[in-house]
Amino acid sequence: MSDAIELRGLTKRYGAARGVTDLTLTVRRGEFYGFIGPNGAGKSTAIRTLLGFLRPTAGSARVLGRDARAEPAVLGRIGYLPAEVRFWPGMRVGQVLALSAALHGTDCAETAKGLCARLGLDVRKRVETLSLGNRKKLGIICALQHAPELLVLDEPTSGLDPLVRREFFALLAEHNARGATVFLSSHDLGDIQRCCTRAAVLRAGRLAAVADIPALSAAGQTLEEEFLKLYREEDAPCC
Amino acid sequence: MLLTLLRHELRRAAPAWAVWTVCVAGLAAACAALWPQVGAGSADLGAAFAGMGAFTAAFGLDRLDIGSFLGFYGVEAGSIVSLGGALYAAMTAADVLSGEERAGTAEWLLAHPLGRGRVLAAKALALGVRVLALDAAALAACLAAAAATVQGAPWARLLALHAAWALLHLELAALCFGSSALRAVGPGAGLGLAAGLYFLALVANLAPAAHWLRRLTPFAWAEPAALLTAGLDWALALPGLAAAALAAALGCWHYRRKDIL
Repeated sequence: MSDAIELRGLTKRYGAARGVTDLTLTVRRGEFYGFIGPNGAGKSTAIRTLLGFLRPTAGSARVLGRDARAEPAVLGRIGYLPAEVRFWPGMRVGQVLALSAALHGTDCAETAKGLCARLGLDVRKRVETLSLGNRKKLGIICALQHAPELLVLDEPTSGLDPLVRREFFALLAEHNARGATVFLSSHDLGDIQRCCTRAAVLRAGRLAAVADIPALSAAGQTLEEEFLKLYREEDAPCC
Repeated sequence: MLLTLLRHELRRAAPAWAVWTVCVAGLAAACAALWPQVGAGSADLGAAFAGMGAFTAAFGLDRLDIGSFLGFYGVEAGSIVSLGGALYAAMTAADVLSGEERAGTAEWLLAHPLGRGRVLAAKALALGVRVLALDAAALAACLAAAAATVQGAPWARLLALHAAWALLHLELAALCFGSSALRAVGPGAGLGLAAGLYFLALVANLAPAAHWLRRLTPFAWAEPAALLTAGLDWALALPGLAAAALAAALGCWHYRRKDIL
């Protein structure tokens, strides 16, 4: 069986500006994988290239063994939450959820109802009246409701209150326990350390390290310390 | 999935479509319904229109019998239906693809297993349905008003007039749809293009030296004076229709390859 995510020498440039450079990483099926790095490190670029929104400048990006640009049907097996989730004004939460399910070719009204109840989202609300946190919840439910094999979540917790965050991570753990792969991009290193088995650290568009979280925890270290160490090395004066 | 997206597109655009359709169709019906009162003083009307100097030629009034129902309807409804429908078609088409990108909804939409080809097909189809539905409503309103107020209305020629205007609207919609693959293009650009092409046709009518401008604007072959005196000039219309189809095809090609930022 192919890996869930496979990036091989992936490079993406926006004209002269850097996106990601020669990025190679593999996420195995069933993993709970973290993707970390400071703002502008290239996390969202890597994710958006993986899902086919951006054309790679060089290298390849495969998801569930497919190139999402050439074979968009693979997106039906993926749940994606963008960093900035936006919907069409005038639609109600329930309509967005029904539309997303229909575009996935499924009817998951019952699952959506359960997810709305767990995350505390009113299906009758109009999307333009939703706060950032509630918009995020709607995006999360859209990503989860069709029970995807792979979840790709870009900054999912920004705007969520602590209670909803807890419920959200419980949901992710349930999906992961059922065999789904979770690829989680986040600035919250505590969340990554608690939930993930491995985490890739991006620095200036390049892969700086891949951390083995259980080994790190067993050694009494935190991901935050490792992350800061990596960045201090970068900032240290040369020679 | 294509039908789901098509329904979504139509539902989302319905409020703006309804407003434009009520205005354009309502005014077309009003033009037809006004004829009995206006026709009674048609000699005065003809003299008034003939004495407008350069504007008489610009609007093709020198080639139309304004004292007939068809001449009057062509002049009055011609500017309302052809220009109103063109503004709607160009404005909405110019926003079809670029609007999703600017609003940030394109990424969410393309995260579903549709593929860009299906998205393009659904959006183009929805645009065509909206444009043709507006024209159908304008024609229906005109025919209903004419049936109620005009004895022996020229049905076939009214139908031909409205069919030509619908073709004009489809041409502008295709041109702007293709352009909307560029993120910077928006409704304002569409409105500007439609208004510019309309005024280009007026300028082309003003002086023989500017007559060649007629080749650049679809409003030249869609003007009521030309349609009612000589029918649709396919030699004038086809290059523009082909250019619009090419623009739409190029826009689709670009959209399938471009980065969604």
